[in-house]
Amino acid sequence: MEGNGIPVNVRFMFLAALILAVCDSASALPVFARRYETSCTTCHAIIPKLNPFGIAFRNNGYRIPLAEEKLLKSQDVSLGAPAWKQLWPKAVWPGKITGVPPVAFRVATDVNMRPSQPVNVNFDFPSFLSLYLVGPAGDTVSFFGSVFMFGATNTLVVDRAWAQFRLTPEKPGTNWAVLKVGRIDVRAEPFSSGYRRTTAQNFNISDYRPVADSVRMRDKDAGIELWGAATGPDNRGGVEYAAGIVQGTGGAAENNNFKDMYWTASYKVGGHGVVGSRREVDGEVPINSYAEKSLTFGTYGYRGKGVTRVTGPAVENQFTRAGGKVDAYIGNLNLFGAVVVGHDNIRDSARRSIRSSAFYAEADYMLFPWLMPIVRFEKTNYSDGRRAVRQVLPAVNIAIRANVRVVVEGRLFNHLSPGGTARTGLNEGLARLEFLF
Amino acid sequence: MMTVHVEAANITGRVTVARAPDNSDAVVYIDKVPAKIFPPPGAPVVLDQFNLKFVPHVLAILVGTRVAFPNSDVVRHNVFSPGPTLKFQLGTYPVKESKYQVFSKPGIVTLLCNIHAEMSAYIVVTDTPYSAVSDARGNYSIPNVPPGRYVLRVWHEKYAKAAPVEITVTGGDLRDVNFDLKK
Repeated sequence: MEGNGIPVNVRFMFLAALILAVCDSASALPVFARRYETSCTTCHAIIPKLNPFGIAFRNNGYRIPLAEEKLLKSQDVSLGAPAWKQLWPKAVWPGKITGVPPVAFRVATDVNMRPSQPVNVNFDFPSFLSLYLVGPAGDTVSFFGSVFMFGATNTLVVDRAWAQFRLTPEKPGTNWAVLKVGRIDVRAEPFSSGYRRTTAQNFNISDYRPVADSVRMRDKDAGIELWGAATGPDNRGGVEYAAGIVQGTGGAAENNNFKDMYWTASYKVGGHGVVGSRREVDGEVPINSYAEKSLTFGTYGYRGKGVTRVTGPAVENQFTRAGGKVDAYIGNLNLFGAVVVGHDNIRDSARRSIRSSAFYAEADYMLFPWLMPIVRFEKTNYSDGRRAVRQVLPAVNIAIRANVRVVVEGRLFNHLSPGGTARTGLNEGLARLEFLF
Repeated sequence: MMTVHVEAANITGRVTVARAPDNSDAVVYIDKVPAKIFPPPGAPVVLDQFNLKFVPHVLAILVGTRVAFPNSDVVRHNVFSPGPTLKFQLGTYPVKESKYQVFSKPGIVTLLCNIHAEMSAYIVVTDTPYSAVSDARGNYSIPNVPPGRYVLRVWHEKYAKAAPVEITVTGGDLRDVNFDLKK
C-alpha cells in the first residue's frame, strides 16, 4: 500500500532512521552503566573481561557490594513494600524489578583473514548481535538472559536464560549459597568464555571435544547449580565454589537418563574480596580496580554421559574432565592458565578409551586503561594417535571508547583440525570492532 | 538553703546508615525515664498520604498519642497495621477524609496500605517525648533532656536491633552521640 507517492517501506525506513538518530544519545550505555550511571570500566578491564571489582559485583548477584542503595541512580520499582514480609504467609513476599528496562545490545563486526582458505579475507558484518537481559530483582533474586544472532547464518540462539536465588542471609562480603536454575553457563569452565576471554578465539579447554558431539565446557546447558562465594577473613581474596547438574546436551533435548555433574572450587589470596568487603563501611567503587596483587588457584571436574558419532551410528560415551587453574595479578599484569585431563569411554563394539589433555597460559598486560596486549599459548593432546594441536594467539585489545572495543588477533598454529590432515604453518588473523549500547 | 538549678540539655549526633540511599529515618530515643509518665499531646500528630506515599515515612511519637491519617492524595487509601505491637485496620477511605488511631503501647508499628502494596511507614512509639528522626545527612537533635542517666536507643527499618548506648546528662549539651548502623 502506498500513499503520497512514497512507498510504505521507504517511509518506515525513514522513520526508523529518524528514531535511531533521536535515540542515539539515550542508548549509549548498557544495562549496568545505565543503572548506576557509571562507566563500563568500573567492572571491566576491557569488555568483556571483568576486573576484580566486576567479579565481586557478579558474586553479589549483580549488585554493588555494600553500596547498591547509595549508587543506584534509577530506583527499582517496588512490587510491595518490604514491610509486607511481616505478613507472610498471609501475603505474597514483596519483590522488585528494575526501574530501567534491563536491556543491552552487543554487536561485533569481524574481518577474518584466512590465507589457507579459498576466500582469504571475509567481512563478517556483523559477526554476531546479542541481546542481554540482566539484573537484580530485589535483594535475593537476579536474572540473566541472552540471545545471539549470528550474522553469517542468520541463526538465532537462546544463549542463557536463568534466575538465581540467594539462600543465605545477607551479610557483607559473603554470598554463601545461591541456587541458579535455567539454561546456565557451567561454572566448571576454568575461565569463563563470557566474561574473561578477550579474544575472538575460544580458550582451547573451553572449546575442545575429544570426540565428536561431546559437550564443551563453554556450552550453556539446562541445569541447576548451587554456588557460593565469600571474601577471606582478612577482607581480601576469598573462596568460590559451585556444583551443578545439567542435561549435558548443550541446551538441546536430553538423549539419555543420565544427568551430567560438575563442581569447582577456588581460593584467592590477596587482592579485592571476591564478594567485596566484609567490613560494613560505606561502599566505594574504585575508578580502576584492574591492578592488584593476588593469586588464585582452583580445581574443577565434570562427569557426563552422552552420545558420539565417531564411526557411523551414535554410541554412548561416558566421560570425565578434571583439571586445575591458576590466576595471578601482579600490578597491571595478569597471568592465568588452566589444565584439563579428559577420559572418554566410547561404548561401541571396540569399547575404546580416549585420553586427552589440554592446557593454556595467557598473559594480559594493561599498558594503559584502554590498551591491553595479550599473548596465549595453548596445547591439546590426544591418546588415539591424533596430532597434538599447538597454538599461539597474540592479540591487542583497544578500548576506543568505554563501550567500544577493537581487538586485533593472530592465530599461529600447527594443525587445522584434530581430525583433518596435518598442515603446518596455518596462520590466521582477525580484526573485530565491537560495541555495546 | 541554696538551690542548684541544673538545666536541661540537648543531645545531638549523627546516625550513619549503611546500605541505605541516605541516612534519614533513623529514630533516636530515650526509652524510659524512671518513675515518670509523660502526658501525650492534646492535638493529633499527622501522618499524611500523598503521591502514593506515607508522609513522613517514619514518625516518632509518645505513647498515648493520637495520630491522624488524612488522605491528601488523588486516590483512595487504606491504612492498617499487621502487628504485633498494635494491630488495626482503618479501612479504605476516600480523598480528603481523615482517620485516627491512638497508639497506646510502646514499640514499632508498621503501616501498610491494602490497595497500594508499595506504600509503607513506621511509627516508633516511645515512653518518653525525648526522640528524634534523623535527616538525610543522619543528623538528629533531642532537645530539653533533663539531667539523669539514660539508655539511648536507635531504630531504623533496616537495622531494628541496633545496640543502644548509655548516656549521662549533667546539664551541658551532649554532642556527637553518634550511631553507626551496619550488619
